[in-house]
Amino acid sequence: MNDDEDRGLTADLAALRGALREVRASQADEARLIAALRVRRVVAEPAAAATAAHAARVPARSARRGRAPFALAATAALAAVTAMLALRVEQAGGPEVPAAAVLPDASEGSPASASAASEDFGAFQPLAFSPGLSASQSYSVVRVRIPLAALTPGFAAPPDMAIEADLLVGEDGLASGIRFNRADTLFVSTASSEIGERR
Amino acid sequence: MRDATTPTADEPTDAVLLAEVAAGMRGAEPAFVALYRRRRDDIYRFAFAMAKSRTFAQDVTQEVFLNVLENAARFDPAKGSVRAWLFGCARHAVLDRLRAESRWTDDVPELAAACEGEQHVLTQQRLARLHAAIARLPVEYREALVLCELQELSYAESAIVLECPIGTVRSRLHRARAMLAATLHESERAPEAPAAPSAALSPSEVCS
Repeated sequence: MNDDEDRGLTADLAALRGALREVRASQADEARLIAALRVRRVVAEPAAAATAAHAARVPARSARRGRAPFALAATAALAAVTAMLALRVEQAGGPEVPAAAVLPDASEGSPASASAASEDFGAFQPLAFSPGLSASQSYSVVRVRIPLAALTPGFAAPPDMAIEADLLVGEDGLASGIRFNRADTLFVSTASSEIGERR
Repeated sequence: MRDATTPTADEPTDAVLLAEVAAGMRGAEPAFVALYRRRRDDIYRFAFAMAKSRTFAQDVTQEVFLNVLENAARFDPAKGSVRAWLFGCARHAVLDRLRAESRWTDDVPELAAACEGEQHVLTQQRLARLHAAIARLPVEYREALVLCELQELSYAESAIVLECPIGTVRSRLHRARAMLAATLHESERAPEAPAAPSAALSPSEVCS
């Protein structure tokens, strides 16, 4: 490469650098990540305390509009997990929502989405207190690992034991549905059963 | 350091924000949002420059910041800046995805699309060809070029991100520029057979 070529390449790279400055990340991902952060925080704290603290911060007007705070929905999700684990209910209960019908974002062809779809997560279950699912709204899927110790106080789970779940988060940041990794729920169900038998 | 997103004196540094995220208390969310808004475009552009795909860049950006949520406490300021740590996370995410995928470039000349509306068609084409040529470089040369030339990281920062000595960064950058010049020279000599920027690449080309 001679000096002219070197200078030309430097100029072209500078132009490309300038063009790349106009390329920006999607704003939509921010809501998805914040939802993941809130789930993580809610799980890290005692669920009741988190609900009370969040309820105190939510303006009354917001509550009147019927826009349930995310923490409440997440707590409802946790309660659903707890109930599932305690009662060892199979996923058949409640109206099931076909994942493909409500997941336009999850089928955009990204490798992560493709690999997630291939795992055994079953169908999404609507969450109590959620605004409901709408075929016209787009949703994001937030995968979370929920420590069992935070979910089931009566279950002496090792600190590193967690259950994997997908939350269905709407454009408003509210969680509307949840689904669980079947392998995880089976494992936890078996483990809690063994502990119960020992007692 | 040539960093266009350096916080002002009255703004918390990246390290302070990351520490608040790691603490996981009430301040975690605003700290995370501030850090995300400050650095997301850096990470997105790095991934986009590496793979020439918006979907790819979007996935990598999300993966990096989910990693921040999970592993903020693992950041060690003695090993480098938060920015370098984030680029390191992004680099691993990019490499993992490149290894996993055999077809990884979009079918759309995305940089040209980003410049749509401008009158400089020739400039657009040249930049699109340059970006395509970068995306075909062997990955170890490509990442050095993208970090130093397009992300404007210093050699020292790039060395931290790439986990190699500074001298290796320099030599890879030199080699990358030479390969790039040769590729562009060839494509100019054979305009009737333009390099297909979105052609499916063999895994050996992607991860050599």
